[in-house]
Amino acid sequence: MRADARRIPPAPDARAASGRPARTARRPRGATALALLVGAHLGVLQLSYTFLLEAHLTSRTVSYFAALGCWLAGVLLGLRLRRPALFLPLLLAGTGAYYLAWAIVRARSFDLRLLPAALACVAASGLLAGYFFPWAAGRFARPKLLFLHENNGFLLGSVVSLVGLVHAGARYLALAPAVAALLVAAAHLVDRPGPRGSA
Amino acid sequence: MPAAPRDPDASSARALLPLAGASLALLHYLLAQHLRVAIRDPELAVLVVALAYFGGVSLGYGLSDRLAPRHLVRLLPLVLAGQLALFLVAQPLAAGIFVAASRAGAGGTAAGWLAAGALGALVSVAGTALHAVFLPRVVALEGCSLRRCYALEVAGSLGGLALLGVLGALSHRLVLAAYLLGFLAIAFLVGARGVRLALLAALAVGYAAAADRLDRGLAARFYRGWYPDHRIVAVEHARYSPYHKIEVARQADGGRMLLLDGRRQFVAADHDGYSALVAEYPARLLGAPDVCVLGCGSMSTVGRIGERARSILVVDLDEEVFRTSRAFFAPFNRLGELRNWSFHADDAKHFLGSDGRRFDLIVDDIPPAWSRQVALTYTEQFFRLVRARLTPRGVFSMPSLVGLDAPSPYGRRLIATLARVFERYFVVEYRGAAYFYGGGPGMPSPDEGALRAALGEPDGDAVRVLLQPEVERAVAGEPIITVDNLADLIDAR
Repeated sequence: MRADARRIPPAPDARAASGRPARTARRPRGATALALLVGAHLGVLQLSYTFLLEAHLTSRTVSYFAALGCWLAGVLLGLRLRRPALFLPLLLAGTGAYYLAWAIVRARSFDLRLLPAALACVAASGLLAGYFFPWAAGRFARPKLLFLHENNGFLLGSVVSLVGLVHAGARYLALAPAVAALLVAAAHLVDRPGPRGSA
Repeated sequence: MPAAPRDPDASSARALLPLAGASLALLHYLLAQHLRVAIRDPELAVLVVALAYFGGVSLGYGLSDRLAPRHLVRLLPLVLAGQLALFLVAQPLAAGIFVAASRAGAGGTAAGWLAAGALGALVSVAGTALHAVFLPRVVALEGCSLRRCYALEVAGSLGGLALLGVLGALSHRLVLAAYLLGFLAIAFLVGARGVRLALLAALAVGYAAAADRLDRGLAARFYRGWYPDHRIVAVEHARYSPYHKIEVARQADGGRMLLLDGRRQFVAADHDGYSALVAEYPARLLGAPDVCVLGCGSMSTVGRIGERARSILVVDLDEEVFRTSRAFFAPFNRLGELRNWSFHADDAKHFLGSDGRRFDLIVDDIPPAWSRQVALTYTEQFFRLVRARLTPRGVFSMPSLVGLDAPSPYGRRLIATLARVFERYFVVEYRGAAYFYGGGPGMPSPDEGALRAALGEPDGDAVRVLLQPEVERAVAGEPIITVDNLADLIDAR
């Protein structure tokens, strides 16, 4: 190996060094579907927050950046949560926080004093995004698969939301996050967890 | 007690993660700005940016354990060159694909999707994939917990976002410089040294130094071909704000054209017909009104009604557009000579929903509803906010650049929505565009003869006046635009 390439993080296992795809280890049933659906739910939730703030508070970039920042802060906080049984409570709390924001900004549209409360809801919804990765890591043989499936789900949720919001706007805001959360809860119920992880 | 020695590889690998997180945040912003200009349909641009960005991240995750380290290092100059080329030539490239596809027989929509798809694929491969390679690789290192690694990357994204908040407001160039610095730091951490690192640094510094000149030169060349009738000589001014790319192009006859996100917003030839109908005529109808202009553009409407209005408040989301127009379109907006105007930086919805002031005349000078964000100012909900800010005799003046008889239902749907909200209204059609004037029961509503006289067109058929019953018939059966069906307007263009 050349000296100048030594600092690159090595490939995770020897099989990858050959440049050939490593075989996927057997995963518990439903883990892939769960990662995909969690990603989709988070994509739906994030886009719904964006449109909610845009339509009912302000379209200025400051609110968009603040919402994204609060989401990421929620992710960081979620990464610190270690108790194993928090998945469903966080799913419920994150979705509930969205509907709280939905109710308050619709009740008093364009009142920027509500922005901090809405941003707190955004952060609460971001908790699941942080908690999920270490919680689900044990279900996947390789971390890249977890990240890949969750990201593909997020992409799916984002695209569905971008299309759904221009076709159904307020109805989408009212229904889509709840439907996505129900799908995640159902996938979680059918998921058979493997050894828990050690992230 | 001294800390235990750390594995140097794992340590520098972990330092990559915050850099990758910050770079992704900065790159997303830069790509969104450039693709918005290149893909001339803003709603499609949003979709393509999301697909390309997250698609690139998936690609990076997928490749994370397949790329040998030496390959990754070798790819760096190619990736950087690809990204910089994308920033520079996205606009002519997308237009070229669009034109080629159209000539090959593809319809407008298919050609647009093809151009956007090609750009999106390039963004995925040359854009975000590189930065997404690191997280799964580092997590797989012994001793690097997923929890910690992911936290490092998210913290980096937060840092990138904070940088954007500061640098984005100051200058696009600073955002670009921060991104290029981050790229060089990543290259160093993954092991680029010697000639390769020098090449990357030269590429980054050279681009940062020449970007503005190159961008204006390429843009001028593109606009000359895209808008041949306007005989563009040069792009005098180009600036990115968080909302738009704002350009001022100089024409062969010395005139100037304002472009927002690569689209023509104002040329001197528009001044007479458009500004007269949208602003001057209703101001004359009202006497000395207190006026609010929503959306500024070149602000030629302000110059047109300057002496006729008691006060003029201009409201626009993008202060940079205001500054540019003030500097480059002074002969039209006359802000230097008028003393009865003020500017308020806000989005129209928030302003109308939160500010208690009422106006005799509200002029809507917001660009057409090509995107979700702008279409929110074309809904029944928005027009009700406008209605609530009119004085009892007040008039809302709004143009639709698509007339009522046009094949596209855009104008009919817009006017149908306005007709739902305003008790009294009439429409003037002139040169294929429809100008709506609406208000409450106290709104002055002259008969057709008086209208024609006021417009200076007593007999000619250049102007068509449609009174309320005729407008009702013309728009009957069209859907009312609300937050629930923005696509009915966006897709109707």
